Amino acid sequence: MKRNSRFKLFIVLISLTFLCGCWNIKEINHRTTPLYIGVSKENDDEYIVTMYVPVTQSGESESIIATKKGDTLSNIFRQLRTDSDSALDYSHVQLIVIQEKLAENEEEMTKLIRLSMAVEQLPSQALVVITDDDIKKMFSNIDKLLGTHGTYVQEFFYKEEWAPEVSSTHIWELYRSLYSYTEDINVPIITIDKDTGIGFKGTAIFKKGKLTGRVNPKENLLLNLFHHDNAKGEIESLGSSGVIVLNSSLYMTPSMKKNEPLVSCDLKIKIDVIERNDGVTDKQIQGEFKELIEKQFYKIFTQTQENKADVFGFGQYFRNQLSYQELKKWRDEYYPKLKVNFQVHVSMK
Amino acid sequence: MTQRVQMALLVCVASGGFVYLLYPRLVTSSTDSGHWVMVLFQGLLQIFFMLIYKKGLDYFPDKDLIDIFRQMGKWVAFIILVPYAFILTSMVGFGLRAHSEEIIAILRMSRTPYWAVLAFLVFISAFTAIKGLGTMLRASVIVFIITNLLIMFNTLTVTANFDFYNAFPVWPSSLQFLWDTNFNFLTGFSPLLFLGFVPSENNMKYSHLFWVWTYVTFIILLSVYIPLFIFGQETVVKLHYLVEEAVDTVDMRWFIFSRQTIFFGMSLIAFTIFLNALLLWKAGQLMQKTFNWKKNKRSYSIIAFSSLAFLMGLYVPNQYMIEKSVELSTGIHALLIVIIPLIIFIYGVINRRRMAVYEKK
Amino acid sequence: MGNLVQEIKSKFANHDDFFIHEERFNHTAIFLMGYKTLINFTKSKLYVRQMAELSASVDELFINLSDQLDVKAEQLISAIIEGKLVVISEKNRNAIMETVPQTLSRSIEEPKNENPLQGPFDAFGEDVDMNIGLLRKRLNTDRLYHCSYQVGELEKRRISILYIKGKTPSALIEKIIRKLKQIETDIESLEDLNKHFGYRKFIPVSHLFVTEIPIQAVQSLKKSRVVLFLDNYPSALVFPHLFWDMFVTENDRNFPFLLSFMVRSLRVIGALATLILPGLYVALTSVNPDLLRIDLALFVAESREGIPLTPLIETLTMLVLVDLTIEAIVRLPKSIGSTITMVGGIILGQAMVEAKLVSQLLVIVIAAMVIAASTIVGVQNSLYIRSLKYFILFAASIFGILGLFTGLLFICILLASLTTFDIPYMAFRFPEKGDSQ
Repeated sequence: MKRNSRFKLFIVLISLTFLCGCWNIKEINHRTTPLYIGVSKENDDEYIVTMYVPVTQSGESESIIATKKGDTLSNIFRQLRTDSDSALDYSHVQLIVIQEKLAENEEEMTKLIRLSMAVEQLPSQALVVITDDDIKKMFSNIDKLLGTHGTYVQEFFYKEEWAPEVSSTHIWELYRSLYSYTEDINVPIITIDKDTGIGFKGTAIFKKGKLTGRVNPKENLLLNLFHHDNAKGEIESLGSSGVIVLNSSLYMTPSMKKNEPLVSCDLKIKIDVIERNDGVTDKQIQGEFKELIEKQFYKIFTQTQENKADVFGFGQYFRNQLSYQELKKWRDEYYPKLKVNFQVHVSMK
Repeated sequence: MTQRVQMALLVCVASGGFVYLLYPRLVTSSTDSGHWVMVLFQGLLQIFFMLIYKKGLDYFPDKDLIDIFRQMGKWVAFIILVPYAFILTSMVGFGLRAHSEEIIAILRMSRTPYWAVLAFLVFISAFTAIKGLGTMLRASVIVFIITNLLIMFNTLTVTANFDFYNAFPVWPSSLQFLWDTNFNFLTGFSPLLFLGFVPSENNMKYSHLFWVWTYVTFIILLSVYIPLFIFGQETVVKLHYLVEEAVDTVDMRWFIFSRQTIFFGMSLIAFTIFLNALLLWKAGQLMQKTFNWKKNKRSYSIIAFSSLAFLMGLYVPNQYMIEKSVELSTGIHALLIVIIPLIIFIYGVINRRRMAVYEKK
Repeated sequence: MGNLVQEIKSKFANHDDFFIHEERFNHTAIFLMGYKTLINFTKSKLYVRQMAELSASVDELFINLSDQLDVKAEQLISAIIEGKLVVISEKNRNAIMETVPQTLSRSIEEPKNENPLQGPFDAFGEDVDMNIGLLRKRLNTDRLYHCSYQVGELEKRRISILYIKGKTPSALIEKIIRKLKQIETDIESLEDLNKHFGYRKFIPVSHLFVTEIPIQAVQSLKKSRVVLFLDNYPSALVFPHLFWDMFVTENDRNFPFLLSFMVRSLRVIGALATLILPGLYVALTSVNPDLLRIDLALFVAESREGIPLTPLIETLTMLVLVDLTIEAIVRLPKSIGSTITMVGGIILGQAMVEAKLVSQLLVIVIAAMVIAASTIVGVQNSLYIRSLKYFILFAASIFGILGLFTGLLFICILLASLTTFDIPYMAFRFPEKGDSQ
């Protein structure tokens, strides 16, 4: 009797080993893991999805760039799944490239963002970018120049003080901006660069999935400042001199008077002059620099205020001063009335 | 490490299992601003019942809940305690089902069927419950340390994505939620009744209770505010697994894992197993002591209850039903949390009076 | 020749190493008898002769020789079996004499299974009295109590119990003594003794912690534990066995606190790594590869490219192979052992990688695991940690990271459920203060 039960236990344990083959466990080398996904739209109803998949073969690195057309995105993804040489696994997607034509369509864009958040496998910290160029060409350009390089995109977008004007946008941030009452978002625009793979061409401003404007990299730096980034390392060339930013900090004091929101921003910047024409004094450089930044700010601000897109996130500072119901009306009622008193204080090293 | 401290830690761990399940979702869906007020009111409600319960139990220093009910009368014990055991079982079943779905989502095991995960969790919980309270108490010390390290790690890394303005407005627009049924469900998310399962003289003291309450409230605040700080109220209501989505936003370029949700998942697993082991043990204890069974029969009843819980969890058809059934079972549990402490307290007072009169004579 | 001598002689007729030597003293014949194999005969004879020269009469000689005079025949026989010299005179006077024994046990040597770094280098031997002597030398207090019991059916084995009165709870000692008195079967191995403290069928954790270093035993005594000695077993058995014995040796205390803390945490990491690493490899390569960071994932995928075995089978093969190698090294004489290490470790591992049977990463993982497993204190502890990793491996191969973590929790719960006479295995230190004197 006792021996019998022991024998049964043994059988159960042995059968456990076979259980491991259940529910189609796929080994890491039998998965197709796309790194970049490109979505574009041709004509009117046809989507094109392009995928960049690294192929791991010991010794050499190769990659596949697959393209599929179809009338709905989920159809294409299903098609890709069927035709892929092994199990398709989206969990390593680093970058989603959206073609500008598609991005300009508010409805499509919203749908796309919702879809990418809803797909469980897709990591919500993947980056989203917009491009004017042909996506397939872009991927093959990256592949030609850099080979299979898992972290290329990450390194490109997180250069921090080596290039403070570059910004990045994750899927979850885009998703948040779809619903947020008080903050809009900017999405990086990239192009093909023959020498380095991709190039940064500023950002596009989205108001709840609607593309409302573009800013160039220099202006984007200002936007970054408002999102708690530091301008440290930025090199600015003024007409008569070149300066490098050593440190920067932004102070905001929001106030509300009779339903008229007012923000006074103080940007403190410490700069160092790296080249200057003869006879230019420090004071002149400071003045020039101050003027330049203030001009840049007001240009973007008036533009976004017209579009009712609060890309600076000023609304966030009023969340505590308005009730939740009032916040709903932030973009339409309060933001157009917002006055910003933007002042730059430049100091030299 | 005295037994009292171990018990406090066990209750903390078990509360974690309750909190992360549906708590943040219920809180964010019932109020759109000033969530902490709701959490605070909820906490006050709990500490109120906890104190009444403790006070009531203190009238019977060497007896536990079941002994007291048996003292009241065999039928009273039967009518209240046997359904209680079944409510606990349903909580285990539905709760584990919800947890296993969430764990599958967190660990991205989309191809693993939920019944396998459910069976695994039920097995481990039942095993722990059979091993008894002593085992749970000892293991809870290690688990408490591990889970808190994981939670700390999660919280610290998640702060990178915090935007504190997202949690504003600070003050609630109205206190309407106090009359919301959801608010009452929240009371059920508490292992408070566990207090009664250990005789009062070996049980936690008031100071321990206070620390447990503080810890649990803190954990609740974390679980509610982490998603809020990241997404803001507008987005949070659109998401399903709030904390998981919030933790998933962290980009961990410096680590070997790409997602730190696995750490959240790990702490959730530990919480779940201990919570359900505790619930099953309580159910087993209830049956054994109410019917005066022998000790070894308890493990049979635990096995029976866990199989029942497994079947319950297995046959819930869809996500919506899971949520509904979890809410229902915790709702009834909330009712018990109100009823049992009050009965014990009132009976304790009456008993004391009677004794006093008896002594005078 | 007296009939007593005849009786004993007939009893030991089939024992070739039994001797009867006849001496003459004062015209009386006295017979010395015993085992040649247990008694140093030449020296004993010399001793008796010297005694004889000092004594005036046979009676005086007997008194000089021993305290145990004129005992019964059965006692004489058992004394002979125990290795004592029995002296019988013609007139049927007899005496049991403690004599010079044959040296059958080794002298105090260095520990063979443990390796104290910069600590005292003496180790327990097979002789119980010598072992207890080693303890008494280090712990010279009158509160060190010692009692011995003879247990067994076919042969009586001596078990000595040592404890410090006033530290060890007397209830515990009573329980141990009661258990020992109940033993009726032969104690042939540690496991036989272990069973009597509570049978654990499927759990590889013993009730007794084996150590061969005296300071370890002394410190255990001071921490109010009990030390048992089994005769002819060259180690002290510390009772009860606690979880932290796996990570803590007494010798650590010779280092500054920070260093000893570091050493101990390394051991904890070692135990964890042994449990986790194989399971983690399987989980990350087969069930949850999406959790790895992208460049790591690509690296792992590349290293697994073209390998026909599934991760579980691959890992199992390597684990069994490595455990076989370790077992083989133990079996073989020391001179050949190193060769096996080389063949097993280097050549086989290299060949398997070259043949693309297992991935390079796995070889690294396995090597790390073997090294990690060796940091644990105590051979038995190391073995049981190594055996538990298989459970985690299977759980991880089915449920991935979930299985891995749950397996770890399961082991934690399992260990927490163990108790020895109501003392939990997971107790940090021995909790109760003993009753004062």
